[in-house]
Amino acid sequence: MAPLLEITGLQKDFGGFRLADVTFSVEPGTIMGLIGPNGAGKTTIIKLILDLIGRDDGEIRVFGMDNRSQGVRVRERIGFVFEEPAFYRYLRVERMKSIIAGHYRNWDEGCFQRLCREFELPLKRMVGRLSRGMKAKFALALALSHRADLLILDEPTAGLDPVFRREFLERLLAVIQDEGKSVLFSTHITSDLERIADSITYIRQGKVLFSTPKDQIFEDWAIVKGGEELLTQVLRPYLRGFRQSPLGVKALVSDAGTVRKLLRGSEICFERVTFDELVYFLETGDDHD
Amino acid sequence: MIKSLLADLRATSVLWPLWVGVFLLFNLFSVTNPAVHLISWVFLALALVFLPLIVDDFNRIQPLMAALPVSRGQRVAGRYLFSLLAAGVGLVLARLEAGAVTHLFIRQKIDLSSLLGLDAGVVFMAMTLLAAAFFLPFYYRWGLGKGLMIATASILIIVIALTLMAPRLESVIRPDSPLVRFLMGVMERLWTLSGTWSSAWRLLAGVSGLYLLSLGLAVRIQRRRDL
Repeated sequence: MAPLLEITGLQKDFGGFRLADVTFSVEPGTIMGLIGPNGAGKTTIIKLILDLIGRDDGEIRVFGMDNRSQGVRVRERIGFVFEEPAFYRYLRVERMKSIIAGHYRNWDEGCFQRLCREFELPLKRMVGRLSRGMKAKFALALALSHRADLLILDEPTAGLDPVFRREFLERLLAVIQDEGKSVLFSTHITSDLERIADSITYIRQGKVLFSTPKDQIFEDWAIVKGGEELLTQVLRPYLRGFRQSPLGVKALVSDAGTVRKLLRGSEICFERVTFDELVYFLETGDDHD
Repeated sequence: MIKSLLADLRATSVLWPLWVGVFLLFNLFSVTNPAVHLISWVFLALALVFLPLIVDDFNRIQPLMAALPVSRGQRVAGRYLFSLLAAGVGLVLARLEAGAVTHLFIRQKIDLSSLLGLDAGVVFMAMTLLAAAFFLPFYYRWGLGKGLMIATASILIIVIALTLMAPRLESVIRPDSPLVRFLMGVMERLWTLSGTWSSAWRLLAGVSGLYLLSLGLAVRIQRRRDL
């Protein structure tokens, strides 16, 4: 099956910040996590996909169509949630919904009403009086109510309580049960991605550091704990960041299989890397470009 | 285009009663002078034209609307259609108000009946649409606050430049030259339309041309804009 989203050689120059040669794709029936530090370019990529900003070079194909020349057809099939959902604050939820719903041919009012009941969204309340979490739920209900094939979520779980966050993630898993649908999910709460993502794209300083299936990350990267022997010249090429304390050294290593072989028989302890640790060590390590 | 127009109507319709109240109240201050009253109508109609721009800017909703399945060109065209509709609503309300004021204040000898004629209606529509056509491209290029400032500054610069150049122009362009006679004719026609439909249509056709030109420019600007 062809990818639902295919980005090739994407470039955008803002003067002070440059998105350079971004390439990745999202397969049908999968959830892709977009991670990286603040200002890495995650939101810029999402804006480029939705054609909110123009690209300088490269190609973005969604459902096999160019996202600019066939933007209306593309956006008809995309559901989105922005980091800070903006609505007309003085309108009631119901009226705001009617503005959005009026733009979609596939709007499913029954689905929206059901989601509102599940999310306990007060339809008569003014949008400005909703909490941040309620606004996120409202944005999600809007995104899920027009039978979108691709969900693009920019920090959707920020401001949500842990209970709803878990429900939210389960709902995303339910979305991709329909094999033709996919989710692109940008977040700082990387534990969410560990739970549901199938693949991860790591963005740093406007470049893709890697875009790979989640399981591959756990095979390629690992956390090692031990003494100062970890900082030898032999291991240096594989160290992508480390923290030294009186208790010893904790480090992130790439090419974990090779490192395991090199350290066979030693007292070194290997641990599975978490996405939080991955981001932490990559951003505080000394291998920045 | 219709989707965008409906979205603007849905977004602003709850504010229309407030606008009607302000319209009627504010106009009462200028009932003794029909010419000032006409200008007051235009300003209040422009407030309605700008209402969707104000609420969009205040709520920072442009990215959300741009991510919906409607092209930028259609969205801009919908907004120009809304402006046309707002000017029309303003005209209807203004004429109702002029008729009511003339009838209610007949003992005070307040007479706005001159504003009920074809001339005033056409001048009202022409001025409202010209102002909208002038401002909207500035809005799409720079946003509401900055766009309004730059548009106002542009008008001031043009007026000051013309004032400073007037003595020189007088020596270059003689009052009886064809260009001056044509421009004077246009001005005269604008203010005293002689009440005929043919002259009204000519003026409205000219304004419509400028309106469409402005629409084309605004679409071009909006298509290139990063949101």
